[in-house]
Amino acid sequence: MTRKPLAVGLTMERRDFSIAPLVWCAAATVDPFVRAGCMPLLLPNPLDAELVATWIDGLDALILTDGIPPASFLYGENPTAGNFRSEPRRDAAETLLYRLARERNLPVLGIGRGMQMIQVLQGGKLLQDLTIGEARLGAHSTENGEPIRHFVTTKPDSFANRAVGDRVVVPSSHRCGIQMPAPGFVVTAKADDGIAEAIESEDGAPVFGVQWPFADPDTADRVVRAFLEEIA
Amino acid sequence: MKTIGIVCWPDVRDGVPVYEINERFATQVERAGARPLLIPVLAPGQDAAQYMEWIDGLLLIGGADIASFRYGEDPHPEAERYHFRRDDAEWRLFEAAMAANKKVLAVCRGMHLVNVALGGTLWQHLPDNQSTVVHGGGRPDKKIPYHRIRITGGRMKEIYGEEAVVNSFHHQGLREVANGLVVTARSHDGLPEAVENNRILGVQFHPEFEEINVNHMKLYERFIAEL
Repeated sequence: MTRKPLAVGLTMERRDFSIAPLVWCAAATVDPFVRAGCMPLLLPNPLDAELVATWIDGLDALILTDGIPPASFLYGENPTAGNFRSEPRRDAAETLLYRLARERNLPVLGIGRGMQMIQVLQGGKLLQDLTIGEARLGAHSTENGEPIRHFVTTKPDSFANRAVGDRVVVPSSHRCGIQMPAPGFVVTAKADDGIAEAIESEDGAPVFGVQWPFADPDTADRVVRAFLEEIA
Repeated sequence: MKTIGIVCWPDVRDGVPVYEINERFATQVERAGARPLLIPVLAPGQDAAQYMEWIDGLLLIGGADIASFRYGEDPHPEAERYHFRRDDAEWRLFEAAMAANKKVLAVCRGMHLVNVALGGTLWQHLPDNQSTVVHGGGRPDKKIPYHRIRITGGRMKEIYGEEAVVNSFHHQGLREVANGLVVTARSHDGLPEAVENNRILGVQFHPEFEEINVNHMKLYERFIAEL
């Protein structure tokens, strides 16, 4: 008899199309959890607090997935020219899911946008546009959205270090980024330009984030395995 | 609160493979008083039964043609590209739902899948049935994707009455209806538009598009009330 699989709830990207609104989650984000023996459930941006509570009570972990960035309004700024698109329903649903998950100490993993969402919901800010200004290195995204790759260096004795080792190449596809961690959080991996590539809670709460998307199976599987070990 | 498992379809969005649905399925299930849970397309060999502990009912939705091999035929020249992994995933989820005594609401391709899984067959391309009603798919020039249906009984009659106008976007349809399914609605050319038994409710039309029929929400409400 095998152990009951962990139920992991993954959030979904959404967009309005002319025929209907669609919600989806990248196969490359879901599949590493299947390979690790979990049972993935996709959460279509629920907005009803009672409904969200029933989810949180039944899940073993909440996964905030990648997608377009959290609206700048969430951290008190107007959007910059390149960051005008946002998805209010997704932002609202993830805000609710994250708050209730934290109240119940449910483990949370943020991937890409998901790490940024944790940062914002914990009172931090994002750099809105890594392609301009002092942080400009052009190293985190491409014009067409296809991921590029770069090195990250992790901090010893951190979740990121246990996941991927001291230094590793990760995929990257984000215009927004984190420089200073939110209160109560530490940056545990950085790109060579100083942009945060992983965060975790300072007080040992089971909240982790990686900036790199699950576009490469190897680094994705390593993050999922390390996360499952953290919450075992 | 009852939970409806909705099986996602595979697609490619922004250049990457995704598991996806029309969000309206989820919001309609919520409006009807149940909790929507989305099941990604199962990987080959991934256990389907584990999801049955989470759900009270299964919703199978529309999409591409079911591989004709499933009902013992080679593909028609007008067949749309098959998605074998989706066929396998939905097949196993349907069988797991039946084995776990769950109820199934099946829309369009979902109704086709249920019929084939229970031993029925499909018209692979609807002009072949000498239809006098335009059903949609395969007719990109079609301007009005609606037609009438005649309703003969079952839950369908309680929900929609004896006659209704429904949307229609399909190029395949039920040919031999599986044993154990009762046809409770037909278009005026005789094509099955709904099938039922005590555990299954299948419709050929798309209740997720509510624009011309105000009764579609009742279909979800009725399905959920029986769980």
